[in-house]
Amino acid sequence: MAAPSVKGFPDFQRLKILAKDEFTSLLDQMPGRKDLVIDGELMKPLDRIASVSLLKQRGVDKIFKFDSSLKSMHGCEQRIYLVRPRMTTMKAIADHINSDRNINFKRKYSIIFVPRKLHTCLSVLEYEGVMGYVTVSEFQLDFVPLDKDVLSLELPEFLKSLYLENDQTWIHTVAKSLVRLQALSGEIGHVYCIGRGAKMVNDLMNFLMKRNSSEQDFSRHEIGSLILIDRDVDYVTPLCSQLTYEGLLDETFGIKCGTIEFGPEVTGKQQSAKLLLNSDDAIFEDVRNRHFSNVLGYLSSKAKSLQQDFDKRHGLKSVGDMKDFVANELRRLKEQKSVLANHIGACEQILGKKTKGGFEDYLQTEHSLLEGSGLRENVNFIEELLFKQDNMLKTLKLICLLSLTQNGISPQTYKSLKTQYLQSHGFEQLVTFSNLKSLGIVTEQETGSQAGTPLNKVASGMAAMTRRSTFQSLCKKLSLIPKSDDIDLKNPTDMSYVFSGAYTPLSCKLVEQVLTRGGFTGMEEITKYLPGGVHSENHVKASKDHSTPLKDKSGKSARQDRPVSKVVLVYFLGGCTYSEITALRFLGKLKGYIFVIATTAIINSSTMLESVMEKPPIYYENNRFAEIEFVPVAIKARSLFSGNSFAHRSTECSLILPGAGMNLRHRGHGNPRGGSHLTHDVIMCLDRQVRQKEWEHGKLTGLLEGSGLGDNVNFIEELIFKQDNMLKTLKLICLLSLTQNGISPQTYKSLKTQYLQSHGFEQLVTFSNLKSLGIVTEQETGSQAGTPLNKVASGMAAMTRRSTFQSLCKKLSLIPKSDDIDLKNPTDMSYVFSGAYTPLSCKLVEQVLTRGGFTGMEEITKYLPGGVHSENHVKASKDHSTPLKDKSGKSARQDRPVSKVVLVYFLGGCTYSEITALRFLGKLKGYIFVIATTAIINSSTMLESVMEKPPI
Amino acid sequence: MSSLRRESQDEEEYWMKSRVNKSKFNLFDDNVTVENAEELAKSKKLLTQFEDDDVDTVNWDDTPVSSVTESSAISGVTGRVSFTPSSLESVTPTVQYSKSQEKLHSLTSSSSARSLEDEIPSFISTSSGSKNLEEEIQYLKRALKKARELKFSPEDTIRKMILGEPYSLEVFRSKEEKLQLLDKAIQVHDGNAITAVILFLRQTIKPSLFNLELQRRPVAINHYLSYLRAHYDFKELGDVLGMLNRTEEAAILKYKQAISAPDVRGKMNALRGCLKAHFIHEPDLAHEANLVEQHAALLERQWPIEDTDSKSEAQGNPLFRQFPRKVSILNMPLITTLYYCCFYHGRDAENLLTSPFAIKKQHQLSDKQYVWTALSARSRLKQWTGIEELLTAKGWFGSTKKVSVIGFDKVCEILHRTSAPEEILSKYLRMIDGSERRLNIARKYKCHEVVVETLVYLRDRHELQVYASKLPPGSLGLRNAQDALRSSTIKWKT
Repeated sequence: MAAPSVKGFPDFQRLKILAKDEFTSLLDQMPGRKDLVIDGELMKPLDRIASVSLLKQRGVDKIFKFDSSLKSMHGCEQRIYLVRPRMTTMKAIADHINSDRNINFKRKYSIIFVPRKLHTCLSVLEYEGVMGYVTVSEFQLDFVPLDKDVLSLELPEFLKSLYLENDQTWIHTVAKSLVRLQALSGEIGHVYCIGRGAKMVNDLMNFLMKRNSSEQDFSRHEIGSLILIDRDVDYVTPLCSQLTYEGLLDETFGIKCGTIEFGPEVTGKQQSAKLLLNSDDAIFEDVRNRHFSNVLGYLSSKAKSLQQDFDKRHGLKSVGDMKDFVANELRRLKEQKSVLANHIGACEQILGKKTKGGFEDYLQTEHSLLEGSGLRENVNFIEELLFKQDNMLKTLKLICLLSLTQNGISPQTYKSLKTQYLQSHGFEQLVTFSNLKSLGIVTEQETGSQAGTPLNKVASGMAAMTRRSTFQSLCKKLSLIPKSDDIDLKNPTDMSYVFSGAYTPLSCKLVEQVLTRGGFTGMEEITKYLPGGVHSENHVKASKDHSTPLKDKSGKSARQDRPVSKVVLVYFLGGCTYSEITALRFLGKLKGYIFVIATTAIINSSTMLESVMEKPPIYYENNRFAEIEFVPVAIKARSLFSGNSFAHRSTECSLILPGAGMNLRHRGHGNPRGGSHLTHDVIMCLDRQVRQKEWEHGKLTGLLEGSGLGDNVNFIEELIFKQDNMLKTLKLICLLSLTQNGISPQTYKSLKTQYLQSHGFEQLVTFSNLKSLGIVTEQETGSQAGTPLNKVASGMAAMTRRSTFQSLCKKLSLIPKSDDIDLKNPTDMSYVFSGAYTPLSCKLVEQVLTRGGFTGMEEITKYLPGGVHSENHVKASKDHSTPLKDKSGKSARQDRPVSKVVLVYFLGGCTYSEITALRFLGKLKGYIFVIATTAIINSSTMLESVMEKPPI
Repeated sequence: MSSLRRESQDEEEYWMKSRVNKSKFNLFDDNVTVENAEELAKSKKLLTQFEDDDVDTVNWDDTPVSSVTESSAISGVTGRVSFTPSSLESVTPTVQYSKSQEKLHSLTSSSSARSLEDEIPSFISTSSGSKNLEEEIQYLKRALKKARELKFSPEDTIRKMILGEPYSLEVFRSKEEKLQLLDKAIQVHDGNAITAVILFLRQTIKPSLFNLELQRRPVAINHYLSYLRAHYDFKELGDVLGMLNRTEEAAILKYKQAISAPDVRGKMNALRGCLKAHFIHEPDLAHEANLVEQHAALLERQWPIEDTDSKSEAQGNPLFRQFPRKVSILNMPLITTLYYCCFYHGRDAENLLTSPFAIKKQHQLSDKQYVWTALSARSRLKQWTGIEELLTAKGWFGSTKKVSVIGFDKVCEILHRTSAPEEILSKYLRMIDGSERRLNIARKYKCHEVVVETLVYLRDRHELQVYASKLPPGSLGLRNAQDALRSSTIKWKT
């Protein structure tokens, strides 16, 4: 299967190689020279996977660290972003792209999401309008092997995301990492879940894996069991001060992705030194798991022996020996010397810091908190730290421990500690306390519940409360606090040595229990205190479970002494500390297990608290500004969803909004024969207007003819004074505006005001709608005489049309000259309006048919908004001649050639008058008109459809 | 036929009702209350049923021939009636139908004017009739085929989402299907899928329904909140929290927004506003209200202090020249402000903003907090008399005595930290109760005089000898020790 692994550990180098291959193939997808922009937090993990030289070899030109505060970036024509899927990051990338496009810089972009793309991220890209310029791919980098037995997702935000915000986005990443691991190492037979998230991961993992139900030889797989533990099962352990060497290095200097950087104060030189901390470093491997009290002595003895090796060179006899020494030994010794010097320097630093800060008192308080003794003194100690404005994280840790071990803090103490904390470290920390409360780390005891369990709380809170009220019970049941004080820290016999024998990490103890008992049976007394419950699954057939593998083939004998069931993968959700890793390593040695530790991130008390504190201490000032910068992003991005749907709705509602007008105009294009819709405005009003003419003493004819303007306005005003039918009045106003190229500003204002006063101010909306439609408009001042010049194009067209209604009338002779139209035996379409007006739309239809198109109609069509268009699909030869291929039996049709049948399609509706006029036209000229329309309308329905409130 | 009539009448009643509804409130209004929403949901359900029936029975797209003949055979209406299922899909067109129907009824009585509503029930009756069972089976088969072609089940879609394969949510049109999607996503615990479905829901169903369904699913709520947080969509976030009655979270959110104001003046106003709107009226947040109040008060104090002092510093005030201010006092914690005022304005009258005592009073600081800070400041300024004043309490009958609320050991700690001269340190070391404790502390601070004194007091000749041997020659401590060792008046412990 795989190369023989070190001391029974599965070989995780394969994971690295796979990741490297995946990454190089992703780079190759963009051939040629390119820049690489890397998310800051991916720098270190990527460093473990691929070297700079590899990147260069794959065409990477420059490497940038991603900076979200930059609005644009320089570089070559191709760029790859390697980022975590975050909305803010997406926004920044979109800004980069847009700023490039603004200066017309063409660049190819690729975004590689680590470990997967999220819907929300893609939405942001889409919303920012840059989706078309980027290619999106995924780099499924999950586990970064930090050592032979440590795998990390390097995902510190998991803790906040899952436990504070209850966001399950990263559950997928954890499950996926396990699926991928098992693809390499074989399926894991036993799964134990402790906690809520653990169960979710298991569920999702099963969903993704499609377990093979057929018999599997689990003994040949590399990992026997998997234990998933939620961090919220045990918050106490990470909050305890670490005392092992590796743990202290992390707390003092910060180990990032398995590397540490020592400053000049450690190296004793000008420059700082970067060290890879893993089992390859023999000296480090020797000391990493030791209790700190046991490190310096070892290092100094090591220094002595090293010195002796060095001194050997004085005893070298021959030149050959000398040469050999210089070639081999010297280099190794020199390397060791520098490493050793660094470790000794680090120890000095740790010692110095710990003695200066009153660490002993602190540790004592911590331990008595764990024991649950000396409550008053502990609170006093915390208060004192607050008076002194001592390190805010340190103080907060103790407050957390106080609450976690005591089932919350009594109300009085809680209030006083909180108040003093805020007074000493800024009121902004109110948010931190709120977060810690949500996490269940710092809580206030319910009044009256100090003695018993609180009853009336929500389920989750209940579980949390129960757990914390019982930290002491768990301690007792699992004997987490060793009874004897004399723990040999040099040759430990118990996991508690990692905390100077004061406390055994709960999480590690649970692992031990599960493995010893082979499950959770008999642990009910313990598991009932664990929030989120436990769950176990066994995929191995019972017969094979405990027996030694039967099917072992020859050549696999090397494995037999370490049966797979002894290899245990412990997966910490929400991070684990180096102390826990050390404790498990010790347990493994003690009980013969091989532990592989997987975690979402390696944490310590400070990083854990900082991740849930609202503003990281000290820098909070800067961060605050960073946050503000993104607010506009938020506002913008927000309408992403609401905005879309609104626009959609508005087009449906049609007619009312300008968008609708656009639709109408558009339709005008595609309908050469039906006449332009815009003329409808006029006609529809006309339809009704003719009847009014009879009723209203012929005032309206004046409107159409454009005569007697003053009289007409007076008449309208009269109607308004009378509060006559509001629709009727409005129609006249519409006609006034349409025929007169808008209403003069003075008249417009006066009519509008009067209309609103008479018919309700709600009609303001109607006027606004009519203005958008171009039906009732106000003349531009100074434009009454001629065509307005400085208007936007569309407005221009609209104005032009209306300013020239009279021109159209004249050119098309819409207003018959003679008054004596025989309404009984009409000779003209105008009879539908008592001979006062020929419908413009129908007239246009007639013109088009007579001329066989728009040729020669330029003088007319130039007044029609939206223009005209015609298409001829009939071959020229066949166009005007009678059909040649007419078969027999179709003769009935021959006297009515198909070219005489005309479909007139009115977009936006037509009136019965128009239909009648066309029918008349057809009879007159021998056409057969078929009228299609979106709806049959009349003046009232047309106006109502665009009025805000239908008239009462 | 009479039963059909009744059905159609019911139908009509229903439409009338729905029109009444419409006049009461706007269907698309976001402010529809929950009751209304439920009512709406019901009527929507009715509608969907109606729709479904229709689609089930007359599949116009698939079976133009059979269904048309079928309908014409029964109702006598020819296939010319232009009617497609899609015209019934939305609410508005159907309502218009009833309108036209009324008109038709009143205007004409001929059979050709029979409105479409009359025909629909007849379709239903045909399909439910057992005669056409075979046809129905045929239809169902077609429908199944069509469904397979058109879309995947919610399960499939969620699987695709989780596996990162292309998917489309737009094919899910009914609320039930969308909710199935959501429930499936929740069931498999993939946050990405959950969030994606939630956003799809938010986009496609109205807020009142969206909120209702969300509230039934706490996991979904959490993802939505998490999304809003990441999106900096604080307005909606606050609204949702308010809707869920999570007042504390909502209040903290508002507070967070308030303190993110870039300038101090804006922050002060925002804090006051937020206090009034979100904290004061919540009995559960009484304590928090007090803290926010303090925050605002602190800024209101810092603002004028900073204003005056920065001017004073610019004008070359000797105090600031001697001890230049490192940073502005704005936005510093309360205790730091207290320290600042003790340092630069220690003697200011109580009615001034800068008075340390006024700060203590306004923020109800404990004596311990006050003494600790004041002591540190005065010690740094080397105001030894000031320290004495601070630690002097009026006793009975005008007498005075030295009292320290924080204990003289702490006093010494502070003095030591601020490098007070040995003489002063010794003075207070001597006030520490308990000779053993005093000895330990004096040793710690290397205050030889007091160590020697105490050892003499303890009559521990051996320790004194050991200690004296470590003292530098010529020091006062050594001289004292030697004097004591030589003295014959001391009765040493044996």
